[in-house]
This record gives sequence, C-alpha cells and structure tokens, in this order.
Amino acid sequence: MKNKGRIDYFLLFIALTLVAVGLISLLTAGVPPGYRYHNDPYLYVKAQLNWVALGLILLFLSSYLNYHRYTKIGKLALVLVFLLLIAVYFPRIGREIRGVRRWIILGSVQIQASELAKVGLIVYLSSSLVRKKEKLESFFRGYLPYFFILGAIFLLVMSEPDLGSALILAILSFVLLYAGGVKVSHLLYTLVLAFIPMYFAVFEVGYRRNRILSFLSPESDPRGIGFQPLHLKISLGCGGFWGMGPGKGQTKLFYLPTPHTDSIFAVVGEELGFIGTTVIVILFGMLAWRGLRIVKRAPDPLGKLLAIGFCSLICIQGIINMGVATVILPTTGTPLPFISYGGSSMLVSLISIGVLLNISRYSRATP
Amino acid sequence: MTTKVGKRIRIGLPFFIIFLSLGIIEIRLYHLQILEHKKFVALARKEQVKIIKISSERGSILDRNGQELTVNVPSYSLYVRPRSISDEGRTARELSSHLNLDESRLLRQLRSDRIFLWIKRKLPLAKKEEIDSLHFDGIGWIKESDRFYPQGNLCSHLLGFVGVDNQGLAGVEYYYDEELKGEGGQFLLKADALGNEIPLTKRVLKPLIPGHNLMLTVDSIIQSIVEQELGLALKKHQAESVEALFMDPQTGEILALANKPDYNPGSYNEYSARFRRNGVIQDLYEPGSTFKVVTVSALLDNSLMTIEDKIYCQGSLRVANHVFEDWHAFNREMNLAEIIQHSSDIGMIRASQKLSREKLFSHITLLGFGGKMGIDLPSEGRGIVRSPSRWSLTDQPCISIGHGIAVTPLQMVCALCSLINGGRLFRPYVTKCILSHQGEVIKEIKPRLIRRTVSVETSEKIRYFMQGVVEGGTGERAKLNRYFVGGKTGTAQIPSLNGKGYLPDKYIASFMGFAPVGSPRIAGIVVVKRPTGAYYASEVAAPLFGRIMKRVLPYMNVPPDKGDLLVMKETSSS
Repeated sequence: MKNKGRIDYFLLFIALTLVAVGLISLLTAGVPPGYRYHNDPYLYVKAQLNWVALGLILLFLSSYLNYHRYTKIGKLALVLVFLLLIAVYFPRIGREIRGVRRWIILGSVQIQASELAKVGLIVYLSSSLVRKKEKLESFFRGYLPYFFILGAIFLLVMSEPDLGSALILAILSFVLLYAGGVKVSHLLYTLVLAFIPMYFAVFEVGYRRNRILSFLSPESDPRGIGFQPLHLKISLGCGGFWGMGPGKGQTKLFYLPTPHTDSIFAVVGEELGFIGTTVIVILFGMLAWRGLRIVKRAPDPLGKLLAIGFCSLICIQGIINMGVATVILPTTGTPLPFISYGGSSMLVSLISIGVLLNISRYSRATP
Repeated sequence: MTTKVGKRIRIGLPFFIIFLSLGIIEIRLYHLQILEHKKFVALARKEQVKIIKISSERGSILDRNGQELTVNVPSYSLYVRPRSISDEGRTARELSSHLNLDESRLLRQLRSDRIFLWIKRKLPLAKKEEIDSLHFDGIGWIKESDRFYPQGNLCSHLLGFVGVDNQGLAGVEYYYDEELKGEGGQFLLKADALGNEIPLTKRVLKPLIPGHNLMLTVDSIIQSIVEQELGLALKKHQAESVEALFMDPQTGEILALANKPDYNPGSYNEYSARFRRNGVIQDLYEPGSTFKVVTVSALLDNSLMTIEDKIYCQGSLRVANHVFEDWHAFNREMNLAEIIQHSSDIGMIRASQKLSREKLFSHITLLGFGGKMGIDLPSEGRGIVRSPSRWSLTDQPCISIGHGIAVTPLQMVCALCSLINGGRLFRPYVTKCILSHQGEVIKEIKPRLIRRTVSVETSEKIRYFMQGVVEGGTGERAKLNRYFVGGKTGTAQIPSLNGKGYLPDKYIASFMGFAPVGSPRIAGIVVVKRPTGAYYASEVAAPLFGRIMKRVLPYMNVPPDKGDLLVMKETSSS
C-alpha cells in the first residue's frame, strides 16, 4: 500500500479534454450574455480560464494528498459542511442574489456553499461508512444517525432554496450508503418517506410546478412556461448531424436564458451537432469507465467509496444537466461539469479528478 | 456478507445506472438532432426570421417657388401588451393623466385579453420622454412619421389632409396619394429573442421607394395675400363664406385658391365639414350678372350684334308672365359695352333675344359650363345647365343674366380666361410637376388646351368691355392707379332649397376680373356669400378684388400699363 504507482493519465486526459471543450464552447456560448450584461463578449472565457488555472493547482495538490488522511478529517468535514450551509444566512459572509442564498464570500470571490458541501459529504460519508462496518446492519445504531444528518443537510440546501443541489446531495448520499453496505430496505423506506416533503417542495412552489408542467407539455404554452424546454429542443434539433458551425448558433441569442451555464449543452448541440454532443456523452462515459476501473482497483473500502463518490458526483451532475438539456428531465439549475461557466463547479470537478487520480496511485492489479 | 471488507462495497448498480443514463441521453440526442432535425429547423425559422415592413416617407408638397408646404416629423405611437402589465391601476391612472385619456376606459383596455393595443398614436418626442421617465412595464413605442403643415391654415383646401396612417383624405394629398405615398419596403431578417436584428442576416424582399414630391402651380405669396384679404372681407361683411380663385389665363395654372373660413390640415378633425369644404370647385351658385359676359360673347362671336348696335333699355320688361326690372331705370339707348358697363338686365335680355335657344346653350357648353373642367383636385362640381328643349319662356332671359343656371367659381374663371386670352379654353391645374425624392423632375404637367372657344376679335372686345366696367361702371371700386383692370360684377339671389323662387334678402356678391387688360397675366374671381349689410357686388366684391390686385400685380413684376395703346385705339375707333 505504500508503493506509489502511476496515476491514471487517461483519466487526466479525459478531464483535460472536457475542460478544453468547455472553454471552446464558452468562446461562443458566452458571447451574447457577456456582451449584453458586461459589455465584454469574452468575459466568461477569461474568467473561466482563471478558475481552470486555480482548479488545476488544486487537482495537482489533491492528487498528491494521500486519501487515507481523509479518515482523520471525516467528522471535521461534516462540521464544515454545516458551517458552510449555515454561513449563507449570515449577512456579512453570505450573499443573497435575487432572493436566493447560495453563496458565501471568500475574499473577492463567491463560492457556492452547496458545491463544497458535496465534497465534504463524500469525505464524511466514506470515512464514516468504513468505520461503522458491521454496525450498518442495525437500523438504530447504523442507519438512523445518517438519516438525521443527511436529512438536515438536505433541508438546509432546500431552503436556500436550491432544489437541484439538494437532489444531487440526496442521490449522492443514496449511492454512497448503498455502496457502503446499508440495507437496501432501509434506503427504500427513506425513499418512500422522502416523497411527502418532496411533493410539497415541488408542487406547492409556483415556479417548480410550472417547470414540471412545462416539461410535460412544452407546446401548451410556448411563449410562457414552455419557452425554455421548447427552445432547448429547437436548439439541439437545429444542429442536425454536423451542426450549424462554431459561432453560428442562434438560440443562444437570448432564446435560451443561460446559454453559458445551464444550457451550454444545447448551444454545443446547435453549433457542433450530433457529433459534438456525442463526443461529450462519450467523454463522460469514458470518465465513468475510468472511474469504475479505479474503484475496482482501489486497495481498500475507503478508496473504493471515495472513488465511487467523486466519480458519481461528476457523472450525476453531467447526466442531470444533459437530461434537462434534452428535456428528459424537468428544469433544474445544474451545471455541466468542466463545461458550464462557473467557478465553484469547476473547482469541485477538478478536485474530484485530483482525488480519483490519487486513489489510482495505490491501484492493485485487477483481482 | 463476507468477512473481507473489500468485498462489501457494492459498485455494480451505481455504475450501471450511470451508463444506462448516458445511453438514454445519446438515444434522445439521436432522436432530436437527426430524426426531428427538419421539424426544429422549421420551428426556429418561424420564430427567428422576421419580415419587417417599413413604411415609406411621404413626399413633400412644394409651392411653385419650392417653398415646402408639408413636412414629415417623427412621432411616436404608444402601444401596450395588456397581459404583460404588472400594475394596471397605476399604469391607467398615470397614463390617463399624462395623455388626457379617460381613466376607466383605459383601465378596461389594459385589463383586456388583447395581445397588442394602441393607446395613443403620434405623440411628440417630448411626450415620449415624459412617459418613459415613469418606467411602466408592458408598454412600447413605434416610430412613425407625422404630417405637419408648417404654414398652418395656408392652402388648406388645396393641400387637403392625411389620416392617421398617412393616407391622403382630401385635396392634393388625396388626388396625388399614389405619387406621394411611395411604396413601403419589406425586409427579411433574423432576430434574437429580444427582437434585435442579427447582423448580416438582412435581405431585401421589396425595396423601399420613397414618395414623390409635388410642385404646385400655386404661389404661396399670392395665396397668402388672397387669404389675408378674404379673411378681412369675411369679418367685415360678416358673410357666410368668401371664396376666391386666381389663374394664369395663358396656361390654366392656378395661382391661388382659397375659401374662408378655413381649417388647419394638421388638426383637420377638430373642424366641421363646413370648414373643410372646397367651395371654389365644389359649390354651385347662380352667377348673376357676371354671366352677362358669356351672353355678350355669344352675340359677338355669332356676329349677331356689333359694338355700335344700340338697344333701348326701358324701366321694365314683361316676358310671358314675368316682369323684369333693372336695378336702376335707364330709359335710354345703350350699346353692348354700356350694357355690360352698367349691368343692365333689360338691355341684356333684349339683346339676347337675337340668339336662338340652341345657340345660347351651345355657347354656354362650349365655354365649359355643365361639365367638369378636369382640375386635379377631388370632387369637382359639374354645375347645372338644362337642355334648351326643357326651357320655359322665361328661362332664356333668366339665363342670359345668369339665373336659372348653376356654376362653380372654377367654371366661371375658366370661361373668363378663354374669353380674354383669345379664345383658348385651358384645363385648370394645380400641380406643375412631379419630382423624385432627390428633386429630379419625373413628370412635368404642361398646359392642356381643351378647345378653342371664341375668336381673337371677340376676345379683344370682351377685354375692352370689361375694362369699361372698372373704368366707370359698376366695378369702379376695383380700379387701380397704375394698372388697367377688367372685370364684371354680379349680385345674385340665392334659390331657395324647395325649388320655388329665391330667398329674400340673401345674396351672393361676386366679381370676376383680370389684369392687366392689354395682356392679362392673372384672372380670377372673388365670391362673397350672404354678406350682411351692404350686398351689392359693386360695394362688396369689387373693392376686395381691387385690393388683391393692387398687392399681387407688383409682386408678379407686372409692368404698370395705365395709358395702354390698345384701349386708346379701340375707344377712338368707336
């Protein structure tokens, strides 16, 4: 376990390719909003380059930080998660934008608290699950503490409000609890129980209900609530096989509300066509495949759990974002990892790769 | 569960779900991007491609010297999208107070289910800025062009006016609407969701053709002199209306056309129809004694009388069961010149008995009465000239002195011009040429001879007779110091609307004339309808005509001609 092997360069290559695709996409998708709101068409690319640079440094550092050390900070990570999620409510540290409290201020940059919470959650759950071992079989001593801790985190994020991140945190928790050995029946009970608050959270909040309704039938009100799903489809549909050519897409011109962040996949689909979108899907698939390989070859349960956590963090976000863009899923504000503009998402994604790379160092030969 | 902890980690299901989801996304992409590609291209085209209509700039109307009588000014029309207003109450309250609208009606409109609604059209820029500063949502502006008449009421009946969509509704604006309006352009362009044009996507479907400009024959200086004098006369005589028309007798070009009261074409809808009526070409009246000139020309041109022939003018004359009387009992012999000079009804009636009904009728129609003269203005009147087979015994004597016949002032002036210009009847016209947007002449409108009427000799005699009217007859008050003016007065009664007899104490006093007598440069008529107090044309119309001539002739650079040899020769030969 001490003998350090080579890191998984193929995974690094996939991640860097995704980053490159993202920067190229921002070069065109970021132009209309950049020009209109900041009078600088390339503002988003320039800002993103800074985040990428910072992210690569963090990737490098985390790939050298022995993942076994995370066991020592498991509890601390949980405390930090709570502190972050509560901090958004403090006026000096937290920042409210259009009635939404999702950000905390660190010096001159804003960080989305729930993004860092995802990293903390993975670290906490992985180390905790490994420690509990056989106790997991017990409902009261094994499962119930997680239920309360995760439920509290979920509610905190929900009330920012950020349903998208809350859902990702929930799915991530389920994946780790399942992988870590919690009884499937316990998870199923929780799922049934969670439906009650979920129903109220979705159907009693006007805009979320509209999103669901518009998702179910966008054509019923194409100028109103159906506008975004319809234009996501138009954007992708116009691309055809080869796409309209880089920079030639038109739905990014304010037909799509956030062409540089949540809707960037549709912009790529319009400009680079089926070829372009397929390349992105394949890159995520390969990333999952390399992730699976690292999980299998990880020398201990901690490595496996951490690898599953970070790999699925990236993949779940990618799938949700692409699912929304292709109108398989209703609208939720989830970025496409490596590609959407946004600092917190970029940093978290690159750190995740860094941790995966670190785990790959300790790979055993396949059993 | 095995004891080996490493085996406890369950990895199959999560990764299976990840790969499955990516597969579903890929299938969905194939469906959207390849199978439904055409459908979405069509949808996008429908939404992004816009056809923009741009209305063309309406042509200007200029006077004969190039003075602009119309100007297009940008204006802003306010619309709302009722469904996107957040606070209808506030919007209705504030808009109604700023725009002078009824608040409850506006509120109803704002709460309606319409997508687009005009609130008020054609507001000036200052009003737009005022409303913009209040920051309403759901309202918007469309830039339009508003017709503005910089000279106010000047030439109102000539110019006419345009409706809210800049369509010509009266006058030259209506008659030449096709030329003035041009053709709106159509552009195809792609627009983003905010309605902004996407650069380099514009394609012209139909080019924008700006309207042509019109240059009128009217001289705005002469026009304003005429309008000024008419206004004063209207006030002085408290008449129902005063009308005037002046023409170049050598071409048929109209130099001035005016009716009082008048209106401002820019706010035409604030005036009743009476103010907007162009009486000069539309309204019929019985001309009275001015028509004697027509009868005399028939006698001379058919050589039925010479200028020496004399007729005894007794105090009264009975024809059938009607007794005619002169305005003043002459009881002496008079030649045609004197009959015209003193406007003797008895003399005229007796002289006209030398004419057959048919001859008189054909001479009247030869001069254009009873038909349209073809002026380039809308709704020209025809007049009423009954055919001789339907004349009663008293009709010929009546018609010879200008009663029992209805004409327009325009017809009188056209006939007069042909009688004094050597017998050429010209089509009257108000538009000299049509100019392109850049000012190049596209079409020049030339004088058009309708037909020849009387001989040159007859024409000369008429001029001499009419000079006599001003130089010592009923038209003496139109006399000028430096010019010889020819003219004829007419004080006519107004037929009652029930067709029986004439209205008591209601008159139309008119004076038609020309100057200078030697070679006429301007001919015209002034008609004062229903003056109160003095009503004789010699007192009401002749001085008005004289005042206008006194100001217009010097402006036209007509050399003074008092002592002209033509008149001296004629007088000495008689």
